[in-house]
Amino acid sequence: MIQYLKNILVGLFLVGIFGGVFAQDVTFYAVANKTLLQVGERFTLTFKLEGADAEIETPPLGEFRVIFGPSQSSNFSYVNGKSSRSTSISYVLIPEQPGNFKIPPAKAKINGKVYETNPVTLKVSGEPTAKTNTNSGNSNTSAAPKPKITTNQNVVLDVQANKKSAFLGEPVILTYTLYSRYSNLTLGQVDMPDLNGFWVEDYPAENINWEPTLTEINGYNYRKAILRKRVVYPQKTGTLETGKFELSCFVNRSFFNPGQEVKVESASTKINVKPFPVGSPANFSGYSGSFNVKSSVDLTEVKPDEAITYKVRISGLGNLKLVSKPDIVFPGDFEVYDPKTKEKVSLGGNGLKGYKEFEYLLIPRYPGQYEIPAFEFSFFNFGTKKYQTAKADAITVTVKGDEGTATTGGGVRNRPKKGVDLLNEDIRFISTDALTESTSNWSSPGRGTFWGISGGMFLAFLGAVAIRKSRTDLRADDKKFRYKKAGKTSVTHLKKAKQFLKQGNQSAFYEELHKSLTGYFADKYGMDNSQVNRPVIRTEIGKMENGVDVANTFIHVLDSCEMAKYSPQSSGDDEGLLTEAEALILKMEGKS
Amino acid sequence: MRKLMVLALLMTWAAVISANNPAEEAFNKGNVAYKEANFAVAYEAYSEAVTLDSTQATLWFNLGNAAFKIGRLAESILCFERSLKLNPQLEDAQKNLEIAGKQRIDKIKVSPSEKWNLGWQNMLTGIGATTFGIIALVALLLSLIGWFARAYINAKALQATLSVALLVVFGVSAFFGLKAHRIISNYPYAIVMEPKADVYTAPNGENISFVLHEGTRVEVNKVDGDWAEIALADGKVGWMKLAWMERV
Repeated sequence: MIQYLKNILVGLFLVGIFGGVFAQDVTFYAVANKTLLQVGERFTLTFKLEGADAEIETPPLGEFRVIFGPSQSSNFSYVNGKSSRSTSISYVLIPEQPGNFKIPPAKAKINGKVYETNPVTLKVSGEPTAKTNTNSGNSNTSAAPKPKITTNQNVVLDVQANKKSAFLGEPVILTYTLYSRYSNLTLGQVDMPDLNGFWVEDYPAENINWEPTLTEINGYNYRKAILRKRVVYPQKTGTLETGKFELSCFVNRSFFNPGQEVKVESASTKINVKPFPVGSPANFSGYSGSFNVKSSVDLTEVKPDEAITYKVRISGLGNLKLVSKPDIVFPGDFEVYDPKTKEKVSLGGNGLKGYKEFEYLLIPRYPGQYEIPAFEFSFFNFGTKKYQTAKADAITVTVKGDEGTATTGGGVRNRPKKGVDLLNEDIRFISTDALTESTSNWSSPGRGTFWGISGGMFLAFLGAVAIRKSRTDLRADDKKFRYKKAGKTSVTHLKKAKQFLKQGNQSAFYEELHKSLTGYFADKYGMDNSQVNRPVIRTEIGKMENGVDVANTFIHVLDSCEMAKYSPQSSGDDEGLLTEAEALILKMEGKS
Repeated sequence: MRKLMVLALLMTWAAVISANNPAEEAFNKGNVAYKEANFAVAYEAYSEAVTLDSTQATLWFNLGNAAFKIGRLAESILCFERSLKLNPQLEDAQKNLEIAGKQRIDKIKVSPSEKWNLGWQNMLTGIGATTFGIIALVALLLSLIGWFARAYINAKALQATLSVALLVVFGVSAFFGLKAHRIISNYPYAIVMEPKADVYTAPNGENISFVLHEGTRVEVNKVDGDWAEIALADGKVGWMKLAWMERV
């Protein structure tokens, strides 16, 4: 264009200098590069004015479809002192009807004189094409339209899918291409269609970048630019529509001119979405693409209550944004928190790729060896059309015992306790113990037996006491028994007397001594104590061998005792009296 | 000849013993059926067993279980209560009574005085009249021996104290035993057997005081013809038809 303007300027300049100086021959003609044509065949029509510079008035070209033009060019050359100039206007035309055509002459006014070109006759053969809906003044037809023209043939929006059929989750790239015959075109509102049944990822919108070469559609030449690209992931099976892309743009818009608004709409492409083939693995959850998984922990040896970070990374090509939290069964004694999700997914030429990472915080509570199980991720690889399973290995974690607490100096750590949950409450089972013999309740205070036994025991006690009493009474009457026991009884009395003497209790001493002797005599001779008196003693003891002496001593001791008992002045020889009494009893017992 | 006679005597004795235990037979039959989850059959067998020997806490307990399993709530509560009346220490019966009680409609808040009263009763019946009786008899025996031995003992004051203390033990034990015996022999409790039983303000069926439902335990204060004056653990008192309840 710039070159073209330059030529004109240079031409005008030279005309100004040399216009009047050099006389030139003027030729003005029209020429078509072909005169025998088929319907729809392109030809170029050129009007050329040589040797002069003037405005060319072109004839109407209503019978033909104008694909390109009018294109004007001016040329000025100065060769070997001889200058030449030419102006030409050319069209690229397509005949739409068969028949003979005569293109009327073009006119040019040079220095007041009107020049005319020769008429051009064309012979067109073939079938006429159907007329299409036209918006512009031109009558246009289209044969086998590649992009379907819906509103304006001058601006066409086309959508192309890189595949017509895809599996669920297999990315399909939609390319929206803008074809324009306007050189000055500004984009207005862009309405990308909302797609039903697809997960949509749009490539970032860029400025319109027109391709350097023109593209010919239906005989017209268009400038072409890729407007938008998007990746769609079908989410349901069946025939899905990609929807209509609506665009409004402005042509010939400039600072002063708001331009003309043109609305364009793309066609809707159909994509056939196939379901996954049969035979999916058990843990398949509907992801398609090509993935790898990796798992890791930051620590494999910890103390109880120390946190472990466990990461699972799913990476590869596919719609990672849809990948949800993996189902990992951690050891029961681990406290598990909801994972943090990290996602780094970018849109490449083949769709989404990158990785998604799930980071779990695990807190083991008790020592021991635990295994975080292997993680398997099954997916459908639409490239190989096969199911695949990516696997991350199991990880063993050792939770060490409590020896660490001793070094930290803490006290005894209390572990959180867990109650035993009752899973099923039912009544307790029947008793199958053998039946007991009907227990007798003889001992119950509510029954007569109890009171009978109690009364019996009491009676038995009374009886026993009575028997004992009668037996002691009986013994008291038994003369023989008393005779045998007389010595012993008197000795116990003497011992008592001795004790009283030691205590200085004189009256008790004499009393006891007296009792000992009279008791002895009564026991020995089968008498009551009351029957004992001096004549009886004399007669009874006198019967013994040396009886008179013994009787005298006996009475002497008794007299001493009685004397001492009734007179406060003691004889002073208490000890002598005691030994005398002892010797006396020994003698009478016949032991001396 | 003599040996033969002894043998014949032994055999008849054995026959008398085994014939004496048809309750045992029914009990075993019930146990087998219960283990096979054949609760209706078990219920029949245990019912027969308790009519033959109603003094076995185990039989009542098992019958209560079978009744519970076939959905006879009031009856199962009654059986558990009877089982506990016979053997207050039967822990399984206590537990099952508690579980069956959860299915009861009526929820009765036990008043503090009644709680104390029940605790006292449970203590007495738990130790049992026979145990109290034995304690009393032993204490009496020791006390009397003490008195008798007094003549031969030097520490006469100690003997007197101990013997008097033992006599007091005898008296208290005999009193508690008598109480426990009275509680069991005049067991005042009854279980409501009707799904819905109206309790009236007077023994005439005119004004409804409150409404009870099956399985609730009431204390029978007195009986007047077809009517019984009942008291609840929360202290409510009213008149109910005798036919609507079953004495434990």
